[in-house]
Amino acid sequence: MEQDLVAIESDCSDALSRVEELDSLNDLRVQYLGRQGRLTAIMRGLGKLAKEDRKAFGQAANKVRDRLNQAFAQAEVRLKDAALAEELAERIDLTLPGSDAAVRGRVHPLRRVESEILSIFNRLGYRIASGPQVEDDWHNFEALNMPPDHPARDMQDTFYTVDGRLLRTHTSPVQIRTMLANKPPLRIVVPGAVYRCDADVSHSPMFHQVEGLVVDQGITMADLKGTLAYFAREMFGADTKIRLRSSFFPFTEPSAEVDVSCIFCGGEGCRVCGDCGWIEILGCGMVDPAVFAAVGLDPDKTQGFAFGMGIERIAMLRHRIPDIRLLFDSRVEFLEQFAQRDREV
Amino acid sequence: MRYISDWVADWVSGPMPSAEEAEAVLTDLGLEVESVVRDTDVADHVVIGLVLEKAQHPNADRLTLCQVDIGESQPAQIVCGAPNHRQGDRVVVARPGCRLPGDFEIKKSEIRGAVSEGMMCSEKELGLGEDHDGIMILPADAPVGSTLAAYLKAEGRQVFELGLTANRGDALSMVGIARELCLRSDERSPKALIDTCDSAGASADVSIKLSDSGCPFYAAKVLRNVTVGESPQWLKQRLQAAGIRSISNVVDITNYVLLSYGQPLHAFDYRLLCQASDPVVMGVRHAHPDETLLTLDGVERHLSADDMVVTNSGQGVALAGVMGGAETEVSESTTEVLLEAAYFDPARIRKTARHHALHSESSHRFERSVDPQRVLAAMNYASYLMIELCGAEAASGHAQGGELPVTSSPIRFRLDYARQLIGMPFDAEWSAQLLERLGCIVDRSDELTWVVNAPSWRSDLQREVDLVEELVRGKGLDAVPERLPQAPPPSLSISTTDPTDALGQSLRLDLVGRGYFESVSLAFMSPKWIKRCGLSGVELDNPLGEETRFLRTDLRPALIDAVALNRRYGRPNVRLVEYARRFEASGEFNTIAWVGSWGVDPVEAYARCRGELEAILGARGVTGLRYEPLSTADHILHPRSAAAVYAGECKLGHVGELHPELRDEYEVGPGQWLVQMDLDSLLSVSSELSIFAPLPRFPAVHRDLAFLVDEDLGAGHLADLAQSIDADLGVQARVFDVYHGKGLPDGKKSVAVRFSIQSSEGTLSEKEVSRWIKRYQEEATQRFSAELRA
Repeated sequence: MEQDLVAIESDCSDALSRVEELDSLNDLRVQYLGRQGRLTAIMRGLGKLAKEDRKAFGQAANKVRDRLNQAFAQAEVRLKDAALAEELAERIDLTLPGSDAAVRGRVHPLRRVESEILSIFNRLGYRIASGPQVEDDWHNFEALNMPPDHPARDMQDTFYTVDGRLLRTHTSPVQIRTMLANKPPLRIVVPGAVYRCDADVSHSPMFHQVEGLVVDQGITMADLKGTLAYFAREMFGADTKIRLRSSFFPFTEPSAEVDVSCIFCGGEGCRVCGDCGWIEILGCGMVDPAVFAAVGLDPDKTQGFAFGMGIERIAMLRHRIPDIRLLFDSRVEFLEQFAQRDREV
Repeated sequence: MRYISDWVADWVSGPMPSAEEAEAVLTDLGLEVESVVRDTDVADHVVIGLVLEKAQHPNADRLTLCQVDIGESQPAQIVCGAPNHRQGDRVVVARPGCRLPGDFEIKKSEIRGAVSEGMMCSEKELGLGEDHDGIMILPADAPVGSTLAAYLKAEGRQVFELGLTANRGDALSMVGIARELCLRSDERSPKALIDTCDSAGASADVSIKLSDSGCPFYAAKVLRNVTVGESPQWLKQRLQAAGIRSISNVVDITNYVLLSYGQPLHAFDYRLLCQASDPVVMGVRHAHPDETLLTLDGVERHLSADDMVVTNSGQGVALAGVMGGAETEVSESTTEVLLEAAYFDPARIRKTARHHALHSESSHRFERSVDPQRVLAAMNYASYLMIELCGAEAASGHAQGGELPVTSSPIRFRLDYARQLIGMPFDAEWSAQLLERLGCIVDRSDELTWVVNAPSWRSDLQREVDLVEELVRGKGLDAVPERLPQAPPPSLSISTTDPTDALGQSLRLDLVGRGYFESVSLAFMSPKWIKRCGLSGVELDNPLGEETRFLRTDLRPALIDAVALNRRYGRPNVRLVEYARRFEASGEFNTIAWVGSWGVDPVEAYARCRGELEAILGARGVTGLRYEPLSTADHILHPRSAAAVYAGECKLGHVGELHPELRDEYEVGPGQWLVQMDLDSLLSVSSELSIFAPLPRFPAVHRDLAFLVDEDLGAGHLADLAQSIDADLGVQARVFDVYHGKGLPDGKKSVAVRFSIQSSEGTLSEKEVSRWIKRYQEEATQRFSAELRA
């Protein structure tokens, strides 16, 4: 019996010193210490011994079992360390390509410009408004101080539908719809598609605008100018300056066109700005009293400003896209050129 | 309209601004300089020469060797290839160092062995005209040695193309531009018009009879002994600079006055008028139905009742305010001219010009309203020029009919209103002076409320706010301070916010994150697609082409086109998403659609396409989707997989594989799957604010079971059934294998389902699980005749 105990301990230690795998270690544990294991079997035979031997042998056997348990624990640590070291030493070929299924979508550059513009005005407390693209003459023209046969209608070549409606030529009818259905104070931005019968490298029969309208007591042209200056700095960079030039729109009076200092040369003069240092980006003005009258607001008591800009123009300027049609054919070689650019300007 | 510096200068007292100053001030005032046509003229650098001697070139048959006096001590020797000059002619010489249009630099050179010290130029070489048959020969009074520019009174001429807005009819004249140029300057003022006063009603040559309210005033004057011929060079050059072709002295004079004063005039051949009717009775009336008129451009015009015609004893002779008639056109044989000056109703002229798509310099000005007080002045200026330049004799007086309209009425004006609207104060003295510079008459007897009469040429100044704009223009917008609105943002919601838009925006970004490229396509559709899509669409009356006759009723055709286009450029399997509006006769619908290539095995592809859809919608609380075969054929999707997607009873959209006919026609390759979802429907079923539910504390138990069912039973029904067995347990069931064929009875298939069963009360015992399975199995047998396989 004694010899058996010694043999078990030495066999097991031997095997433990040779074991290389955690699985084999477990097998060994079963083989020696498991229910049917060799040590267990010997300890089960304890009952057959004489009483006086039983105690001594039992103690010896327990000591062997404790030592073996400890040895197993050490072996386990050794094997785990070795396995970890081995895994840590592994290297995969980092030059192999990503799989084809790798996700690579892109936001359309027009949508990106649009959402940048909207988020700037959201910060100033503007709500987003929208309206139908198939409009009627009253909302698109008449209520905006463009009666039939007004020469200003020539500025906007209109698509008409066979049932006598039209495709909105600007987002401005949403001003009318909003003022008819909501009481001032109002502060809205209106993004959306608009239509004019015109097609060449810089004109598309469908294009996009963002329009803004603020109506409140005591709103002045100074507020308009400050708002646009803020917008220009947020959109094009903190050093951007704006310049307003007198102009004419039937629905605003006074009206102005707005230039920003060239986003490429900073106003020094370059090819993009035609050497003048300025780039025209939007039109604006104080809401014409006739527009307030059309929506039933008292022109003597109501003041407001409005502005509008073309998304395509800004996107094309920014990214130097030479032909507007590129924006509308969904060529991925085009779309994948415009990476996400997540930073404060 | 072009700004021509020397022409405008005729109407300005005081020094003219430099080119840069003029450009800046005009643009700032709202007369935008769109382009600089030319800075300084070539004419500044070429001189007038006298051909002293013309000899044959010793070494070239077609060249001549000339000695030309150019006002220097020695004549210049010039080799010339032109055929038309003679000894004693005055010619135009470009000296070495001079640059001609096209960046052509003149150099002293040797031509076939003879030195040439310059070039004698044709009109075309100087950029002054089209004539290049020979060099320019000037009249004998041209001063030898002076510059051509000085001779043409065009020294330092700057020409700008102006982009004028529709309200500024007054700026469509040199006189009007001159006034603007003087607006901000203390050293310049506008000159008065040349008006050689003429008395009305003394003419026996013509009478006037008006019968259309669209022509409130018409005047005519007869000029005799007219010699029709070429205009003098200075006049030709000025018209040329303005972009107008020189025709003959008489026609050129009417155009010259039109550009100077902004008042269109028309010259008729008076003798031809007399031949048609004696006496000549000029009138204006509505066109008759079926009336036709041959206009100057040689086109037979079919008139409508809205058109106005100028008549001679009732017979149409001109399309009023738009274009003259060909039959009474001034020609080389004309000796007597009837000059017309009138005021026409802007709206009527605009209608006619649009109706005939005939936009002339005349109609452009009448549409924008001419200055009624300038009508007769223009006529008189033109007859003065005809006397001076065509040798004409003016008959005494002129005939006129009707009344000149009064286009302005007194405007109540408060400086305080200007301050309130613009957000800055305006000085009273300065403001009054500015308004006066514009030509207004300002009555300040009431200090707070002035009464302002706008000048006759500014029909756009009607209201107080219009005068405020003039103050702002005068000040310059640079002077307006910058502020932000001080009030807090107004109410959070407005009725015109589109409730589906936020969902649409978030879905499109999700799909981009899943690898889709975002597409923005034109919202038009061809009749062919309209037919195929089967919805009634919005049809355009004036489409750009047949392919774009309708607004799109469906977003998918554009996606199919885009896939095909990308495939042609070597990108066969692109994924695209578009969020846009669809248009039906019944309204506009925010819609999102996407296309992706999911492989050739339709069962596998369906699983992937549907899985993605469910992942996206599930994230928005839209679960338990139902897919039903499309009852009516969708001609875009393949019948084998076309499905309508429902959440409860709400139809959300369509999913399916591209129809094989379209696949082949558009060559997009196999396995293209399309999804189109309606945003209104999606919004109606998407989640409200989520409320916390206790987290599961006990593990789920998994069981895999296979059932034998009829071949045509939808396998998904077996999984759906699991929900209805015991409401107290949380059960998820998913079909993970469908097996057909060998070892199974005919008409049967085996469906394997993985169940995961969980209780919130405790870990389920084997017994509890078996009880659930048994109940499920009974239900499945009863409903679907499903048999549990071993």
